[in-house]
Amino acid sequence: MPFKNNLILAGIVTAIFLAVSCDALAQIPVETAAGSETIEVTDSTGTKFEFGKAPLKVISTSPAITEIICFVGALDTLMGVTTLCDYPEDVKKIEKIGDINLNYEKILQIKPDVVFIMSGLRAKEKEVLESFGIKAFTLELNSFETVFGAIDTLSKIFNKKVNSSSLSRHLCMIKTEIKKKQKQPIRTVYFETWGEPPMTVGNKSFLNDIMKSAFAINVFSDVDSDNFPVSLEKVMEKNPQYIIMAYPGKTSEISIRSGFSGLIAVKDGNIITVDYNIYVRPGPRMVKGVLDLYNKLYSDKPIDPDKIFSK
Amino acid sequence: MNFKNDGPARVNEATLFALLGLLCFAGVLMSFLLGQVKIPLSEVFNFFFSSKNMMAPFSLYNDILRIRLSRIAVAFITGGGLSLAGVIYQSALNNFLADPFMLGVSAGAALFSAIAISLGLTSSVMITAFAFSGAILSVVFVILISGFKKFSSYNLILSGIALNSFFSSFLTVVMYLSKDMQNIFFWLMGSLTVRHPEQIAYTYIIVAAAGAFVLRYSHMLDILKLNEKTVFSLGVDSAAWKIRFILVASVVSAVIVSQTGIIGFVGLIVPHAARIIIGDRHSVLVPFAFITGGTMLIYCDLISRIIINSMDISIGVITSIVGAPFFILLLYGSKKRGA
Amino acid sequence: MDKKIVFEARNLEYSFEGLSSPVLRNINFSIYSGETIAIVGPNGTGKSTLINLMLGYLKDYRGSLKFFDEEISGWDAEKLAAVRGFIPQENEADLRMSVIDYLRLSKADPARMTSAEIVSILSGMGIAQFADRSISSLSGGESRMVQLAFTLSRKPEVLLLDEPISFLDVSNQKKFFDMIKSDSAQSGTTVVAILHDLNAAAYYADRIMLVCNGEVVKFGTPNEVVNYKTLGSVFFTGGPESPEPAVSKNTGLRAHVVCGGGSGAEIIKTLISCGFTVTAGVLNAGDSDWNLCLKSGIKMAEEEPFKGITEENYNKNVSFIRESDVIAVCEFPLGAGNLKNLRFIEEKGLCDGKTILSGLSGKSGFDYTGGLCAPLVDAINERSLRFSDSSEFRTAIDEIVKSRTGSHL
Repeated sequence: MPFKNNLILAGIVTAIFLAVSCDALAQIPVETAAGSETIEVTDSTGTKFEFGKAPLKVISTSPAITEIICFVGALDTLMGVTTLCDYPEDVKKIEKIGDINLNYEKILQIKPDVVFIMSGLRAKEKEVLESFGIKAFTLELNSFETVFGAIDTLSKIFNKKVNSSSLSRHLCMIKTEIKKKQKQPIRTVYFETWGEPPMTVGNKSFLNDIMKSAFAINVFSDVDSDNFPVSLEKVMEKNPQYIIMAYPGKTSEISIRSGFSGLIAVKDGNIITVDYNIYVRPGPRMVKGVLDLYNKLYSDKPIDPDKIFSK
Repeated sequence: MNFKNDGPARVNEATLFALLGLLCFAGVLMSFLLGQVKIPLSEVFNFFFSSKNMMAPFSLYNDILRIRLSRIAVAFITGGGLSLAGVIYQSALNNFLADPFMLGVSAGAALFSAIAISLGLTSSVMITAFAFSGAILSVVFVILISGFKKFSSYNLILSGIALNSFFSSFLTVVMYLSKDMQNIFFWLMGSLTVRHPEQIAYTYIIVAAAGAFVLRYSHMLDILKLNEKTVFSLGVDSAAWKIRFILVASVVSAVIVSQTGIIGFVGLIVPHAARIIIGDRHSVLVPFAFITGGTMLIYCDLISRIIINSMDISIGVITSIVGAPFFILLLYGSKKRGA
Repeated sequence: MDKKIVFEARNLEYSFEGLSSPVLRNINFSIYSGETIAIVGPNGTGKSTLINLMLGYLKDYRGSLKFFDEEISGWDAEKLAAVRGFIPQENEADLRMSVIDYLRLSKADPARMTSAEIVSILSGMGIAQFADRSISSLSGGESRMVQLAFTLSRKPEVLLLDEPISFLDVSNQKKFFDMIKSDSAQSGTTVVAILHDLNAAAYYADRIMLVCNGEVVKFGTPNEVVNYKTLGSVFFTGGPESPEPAVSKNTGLRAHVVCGGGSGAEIIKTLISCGFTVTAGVLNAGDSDWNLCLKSGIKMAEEEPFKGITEENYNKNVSFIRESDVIAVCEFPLGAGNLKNLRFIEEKGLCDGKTILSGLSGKSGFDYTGGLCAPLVDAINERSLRFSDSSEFRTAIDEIVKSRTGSHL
């Protein structure tokens, strides 16, 4: 009996502590760049950039970057986006400067102060842009850490007040809520990003981060990879409790697979489709993704989004 | 290859087939045993021979074995069929660089399946049907174009290349404009996983029928390789026979491409290798190439399934990695022999 | 007994697509059953085209070519195949297939011959040991024999051959044609073969068809066709046309030129232009000097091509010399065959009163007699005015003319 009392006490103390610390985190002031000193920023490749004043014309070469720019409040500086950028709604009106391939002529026409590129995909483009004398700023976006870091960096560059602190606070609150509600074991998930051929993600993907934060285990977190074509046999062996279908299609396409009828997820009817748009970009909506995923997996004990996001 | 003085030591044809059969059997066995999940031999044995196990549902091993059985069956008929088509093309067109996709089969199948996918058709039966029609239409088109001048292998090949480029550029446009580019792209890469295993049966039937035809008239393929005037002097209508064989081979390629996408190198390499090992007599070359191709693809499939943990690499990648160096070796070897 | 006509050509003409001048024209001949015909002629004159027409491979000809009384363009390919066999110019493709399997193809039909039958055909030709060899491992001669076996196994009534023995050595040639001949004798096969070797043609053929510039120049027995007159006009008109030597006033003097190998060209021209009546000898048909004399209408003592000088021709030469005022001996390669050309010097009294001009230098480069010619050369040179080139010759001739006729040129 005393043991149980101690446990309750510990739980209450932890909750209070977490609540206070999360609030405290939100109070950290944002550095405002007062005066007209030049800002020195380093991008993810280690290149140093100097910004004398906040850039007036920028280009984004990736939907995730577009979302981040809009998130920090610099939508009005965005002069060029890709055809794949579709969030928020306003960006659809902005001039398109390419898709997988960049239209350099348009970019030159716009004469941007800086072009933001995502690391890994755009190494070649960076070289080409620099040869035209255009600043190419690389951002790494593959985890909460890097995404939040990028948000803060852009906030600094654009001299804005909005930074990642609200997001990290929300994330913190979600985690707290999860801890409060969780007394049962963590659920295993097979997160399918494509159907034909079947693909999933390993531990180098931001989706892995989302799953971790959402109190789920990615059955393929042992694989050192981002997105990869997966062996269905292995999926069967791992026997996940839940299957997330993060692409357009019907769940029956998965359940009908030969051999899948024996899987727990199929037997219990736990193949879940999600609004995959939230899950395809390592950007500000990742936090939303955590909550969305958690609520889908633990639909018996959902967390009310208003509880988190209205603060 | 029971003839003297040419090539490696004189080996009985029967022995060669026996060795090949052994290799194939070993490949099949390994394909059942190995994969991302290791399955003990006893389970495999039970799967085949213990009737009650076959019926038992929800057994992980059985399920996986069922998947592997389907993969092996597809791999064998795909490799075998492509090699069969390859032998026929190479002999009928008298060109060692001919492959089953040459006469527009791949381009037609690719373009039409891309159209099907971008029209929103997701049913694999529909996509297959589109691909097949595209392939056959292309071949017929190629034969008609090249027939305007005097029918010759040279004209056929050129027309095929022209059509391939033409359709490929169309394909690029379709892929670019459609939002299903990823779907199309993956379809093109080739895959041995078929959604409806029953479709494999159709493939087997068609390839078997084609094989029967070719075997029945294998001596005609031999004759087509002789001097042009000799062929004429034998009273053989070489143009008519070439077209017959090409159509049969094209049906085989079309059926396979429409199901599994474009898997390269098999149809080009295996006929060569088979020729080197067993000689030019088609009555043995054709079956030997068929089994060799099927075996090769079984092994390639096995590699694609086990090479990286948890991953299932696209089969086209494996055949390229295995096939490309082999191809270079072949070219080098044939240059030395002065072919 | 009236022999059947196998091939009959009337005004046969053929042009290749797009070319205005016909490759073959005005072709008329009849070939009878059981004959062995050789088609000969210089390269590129239409022999292959002719045999392709007879094969039935080219159908768009003008005129008429009948095969067993039916126009060959109307024959069904399979019916043709049943009665006629063909061996192309090329060896069989680089096939890795045994000879037995290759021979099995000759029937073009699954109802095949058994291995035993095939081996017996091969033994009949004396090549049973090839049975298991791969086609691609055969040498040129062996391959030809196998191709012959292939064709003969079909028991054709008519056999068409496009240069069957061109790349074979003599013994293989003999084997090949002996085989054909014996088969033909047994079965009455009609054989038409394009041959390059005139000797072979003369030896094996019943009749020879000489084709030149797209026309049949002569079609007759070997005797009629293979002589230097007929052949010379066909084969040996080649090379740049030497301009006809200009003839000035005839001086009434006669000169005989002993030459060969082109050595006499300038000399003869000079003599003619100086007004001499020229004779020459002994020249072999085909020699370039012979060519020149033929063109220029100069009388000669002629010999068969590549043959040694016969007594008869030697005497003819001597008589020419007897009639001449001047004898010009040029520097030509001396061999056992033409050494006799110098022997005139041994004839007593033959050269009295005549001027001999000698270009012989006695250099070993021209001596193919192993030194035997040396005494003759010396004997001639002792008695002659020596010249070393045509200008010296010219000068000497001028002198002679002046002195003989007492007039200037």
